[in-house]
Amino acid sequence: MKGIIDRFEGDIAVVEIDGKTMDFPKNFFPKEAKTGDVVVIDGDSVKVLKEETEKRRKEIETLMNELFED
Amino acid sequence: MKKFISAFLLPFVLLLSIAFPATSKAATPPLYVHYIDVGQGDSIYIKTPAGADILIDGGNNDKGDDVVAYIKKQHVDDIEVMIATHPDADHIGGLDTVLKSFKVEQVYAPRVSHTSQTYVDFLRAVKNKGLTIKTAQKGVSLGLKGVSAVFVGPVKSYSVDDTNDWSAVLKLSYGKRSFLFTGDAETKAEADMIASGQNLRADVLKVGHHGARTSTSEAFLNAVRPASAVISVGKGNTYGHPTAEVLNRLKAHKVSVFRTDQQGTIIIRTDGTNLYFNVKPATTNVSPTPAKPTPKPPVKTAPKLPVKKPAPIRLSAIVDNPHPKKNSTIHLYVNGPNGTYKAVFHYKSKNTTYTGTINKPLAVKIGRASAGYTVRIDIYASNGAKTSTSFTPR
Repeated sequence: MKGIIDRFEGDIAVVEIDGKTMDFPKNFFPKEAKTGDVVVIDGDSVKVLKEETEKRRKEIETLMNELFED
Repeated sequence: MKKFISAFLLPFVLLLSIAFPATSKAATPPLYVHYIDVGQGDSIYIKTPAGADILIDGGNNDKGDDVVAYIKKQHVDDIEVMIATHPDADHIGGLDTVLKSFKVEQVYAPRVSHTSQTYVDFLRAVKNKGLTIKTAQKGVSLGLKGVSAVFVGPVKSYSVDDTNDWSAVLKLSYGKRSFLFTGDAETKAEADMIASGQNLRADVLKVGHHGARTSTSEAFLNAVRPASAVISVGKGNTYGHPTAEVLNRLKAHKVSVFRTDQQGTIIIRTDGTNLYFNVKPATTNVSPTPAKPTPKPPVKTAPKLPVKKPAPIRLSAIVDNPHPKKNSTIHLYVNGPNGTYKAVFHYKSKNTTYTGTINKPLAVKIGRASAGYTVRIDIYASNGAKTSTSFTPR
């Protein structure tokens, strides 16, 4: 199951899965996991997809450059 | 003695406000601020005395329709200013729905990215309306008639994963009264706002980050010196918001606290001199006498609304594969406050009950489950909470 870390709330990681947010214990996630990371949750292991995260962020920043006035 | 006098005078003040309710209203048009009850999240609707409509945040993804319905009920036909304080889903989730439903003139947001679909949906909705985004940052004014509305934060850039500190913080003043809308700004951003030397003083503080302990620092309260504070927070949220630390800090500063989880939508009206609340403060043990030298406006209240009962503890559940193959293994995630649960799988032919531990994945071999038949899973936690999810084998 793939998701994106929306934010951390104390000991909880809020993960967006198919456009909805779902709470997970933060300790499921590797220490280096950050807000915005694309992750794969499989059983009790979570993998951060670094390349996919960066690719996504680049695409979104391109859209932001187009929309932000300054 | 002081306490005695204010207790003694209060009935007369109330009587006066009942006897002459229209006097100030007729003289100066009011400003309205609605802290909409969107559960865990923020959404604030403001109507300025000149009639401009402002929306700060739009609650979570599933709250967009509620926000649209609420502001339609306030006879809003277009929104002059929309502010997305920062890209977290519980703040911007509903804004795409609002953008689709209303003509919006201006959109403000801090220049920080997020990779979430929620943020992409917001950006695309802005684009589809042919709009652009103005950067929300310190010193930017909304340029509205009759009020002063200026961003006091963010004062600088933060790390891209520190979305809370990027929060657009708006100070709105009308006459002698002012409001501070902080988004989720945390201690670091608060310290930077204080260090910037701006006047942060406000009568009403929207408590940062739903009352999380990482916001509303002692230093910030000393700078803002609010008489009242509003906490926008969901009933029975799993994050422990608002925290006892923040409630105690507010209490120590003799701040009257209003809470959307206990009182629903909080509405404040002001004529620029007095503040009128639709409900009484949520905490009754806060002293009504002003503790600081600054004169505070008299707080007058309408009849008290019934206080809602506390909600049961929230539990959420999901399976890692909503369309598994026959004989495969799926994982059920039931997350919430620690404990155990029973999960009843309603297969086509029979019900099977499994026992699991909250916050630990449960592996279930689904056997020869019928393809195309949606298996509902009802989850009953040992603490009494309930939830459900489902999967449909292919």
